[in-house]
Amino acid sequence: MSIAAEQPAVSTSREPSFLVLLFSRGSVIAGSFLIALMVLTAVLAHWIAPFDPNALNIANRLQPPGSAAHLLGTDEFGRDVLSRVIHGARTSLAIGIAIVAFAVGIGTLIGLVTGFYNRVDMVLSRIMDGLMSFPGLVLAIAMTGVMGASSTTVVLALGIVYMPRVARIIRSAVLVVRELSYVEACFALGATRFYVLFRHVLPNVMSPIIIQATFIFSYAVLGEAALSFLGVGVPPTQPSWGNMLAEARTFIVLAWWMALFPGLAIMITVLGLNLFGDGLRDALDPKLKGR
Amino acid sequence: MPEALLRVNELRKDFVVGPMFRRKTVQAIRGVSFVLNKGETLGLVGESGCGKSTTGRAAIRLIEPSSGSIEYDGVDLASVGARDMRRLRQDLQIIFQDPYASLDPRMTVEQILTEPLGIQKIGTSAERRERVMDIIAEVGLQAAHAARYPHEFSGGQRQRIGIARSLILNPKMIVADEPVSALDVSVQAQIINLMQDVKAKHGMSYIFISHDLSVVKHICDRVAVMYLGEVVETASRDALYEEPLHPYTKALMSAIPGRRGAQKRITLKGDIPSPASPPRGCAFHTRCPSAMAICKTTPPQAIETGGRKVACHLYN
Repeated sequence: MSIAAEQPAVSTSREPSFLVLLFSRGSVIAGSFLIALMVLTAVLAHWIAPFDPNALNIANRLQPPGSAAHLLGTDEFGRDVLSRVIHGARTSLAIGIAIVAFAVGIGTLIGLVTGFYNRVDMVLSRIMDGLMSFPGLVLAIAMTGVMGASSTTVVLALGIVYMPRVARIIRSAVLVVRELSYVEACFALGATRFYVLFRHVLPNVMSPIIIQATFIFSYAVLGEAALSFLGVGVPPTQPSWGNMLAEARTFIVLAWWMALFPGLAIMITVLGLNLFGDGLRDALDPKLKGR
Repeated sequence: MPEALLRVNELRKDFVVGPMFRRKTVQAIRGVSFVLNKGETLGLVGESGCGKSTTGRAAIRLIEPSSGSIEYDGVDLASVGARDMRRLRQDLQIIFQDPYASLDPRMTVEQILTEPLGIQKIGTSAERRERVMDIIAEVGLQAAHAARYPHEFSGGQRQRIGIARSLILNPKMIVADEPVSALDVSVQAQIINLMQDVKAKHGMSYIFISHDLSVVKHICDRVAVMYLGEVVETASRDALYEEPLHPYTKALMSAIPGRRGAQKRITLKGDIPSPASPPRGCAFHTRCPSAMAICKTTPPQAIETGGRKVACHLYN
């Protein structure tokens, strides 16, 4: 029997490592650059910020960018916008990462379980539907009302708001994967359900998980902004991009720079994360290797 | 007298379908019995939706049967505990129809083939690797293929990987669920030959599920014909193809293209009835050219004539 006709070209070169593969993508390089920029800003905030972010200077309030040592201008209390954006990176990144970890971590787990175990699906999925039927912000406000406004509350509240969406998307991906023959083949080999779930199903629903994580980060930063705007989020003494945007809204006609720069910071972070997330998803998919 | 490996008795599988309050029971298989002998290839044929695949999967309990017994090696597979069943799965393997869906796209060939040994905790990692390389050679792939991912292979090669995975635990029987129907005709022949080669070497039994009667004639020793969840006729390959007894088998045989000395083609009228509401009496009476009054009321019992079994009132 000749099978020469079906042989793909034999490659002798060693497989490149995953990191090499990952960083051979332009989008990953650009994305990690932007993320690194933001993370460094957050870590080094104390040293690179030209002013104390909370130092009031009523005489210099609402100065436009470039005036009197204030590179990005000042806000309505004369606080330096650049310093507040730099310090805001700490709060916003930390809150964003914490919300993503919470929502995607628990959401993925619930999605896997509801998609794979019919017995718990009925109950858990109805609970998720119940959570989703609340308007997200109203639920978050109710929670902060009970627990008091703080960063922890914001993380818990927004985490619980976004978690069911992740769970539902992962569940639907699991429902597709669990019917594929390779899952059945694994049961035929004598594997337990737990093994199949984490060895075969989870890796094959990684793409939607990564996409959700990058989306949720952007939602989280904006959600934090909305909560801060309503006065139930991060207190204004602790600058975040969200509460800066919220304060800037009132002065949007007078002082556009107050809204523009925290907005740009959010945009750059989200862009960086999306570029990186897309590249990561592609690098994890063997089918797209080398493209 | 051939020695039985697997004895399936009155196996039933009902699926409950439909939304709440409008649930229906679909009887996918309705009391199937057959015997698989050691070293034998048993064909399971019938049209789409007749329960061939369900029967094959229920026979190795990949689907939980609703009732009936599956006697294997002195135990009833239908009632054995989950832990014991997982151990027994070494002996009972399956090859799938779709070579594109049957391999995890995120694992290399080597990972796919090592996994069964890992699950069953067989050998050290060096032994496992050696075994994997042996099996890769045995199914006609090259050592360099071990590091590749499934999408880098053609359908025929993927099916070779699927066969390698089912072989690596040295099973006593393999359910082959339409293993070649998704492949080109030229590749079909290669895969069939491979299946026959490995059987000659290892001496396992096959349950070969197919709707392609030419392929079945080539590879099977005995054939069971299924219709609407029941076995209507079981016979040796030669007897069945020489002289089909059941009217349904006759119709199937007359539909094989280019058959020597072909009699007139028997065309069945109408569609296969819904398995949610199978007809009373003989399930086939709605389409049978030789239906009698009794067929509408009484289901025929399978009777043995000359080493074969047929369930039809014509032979009572």
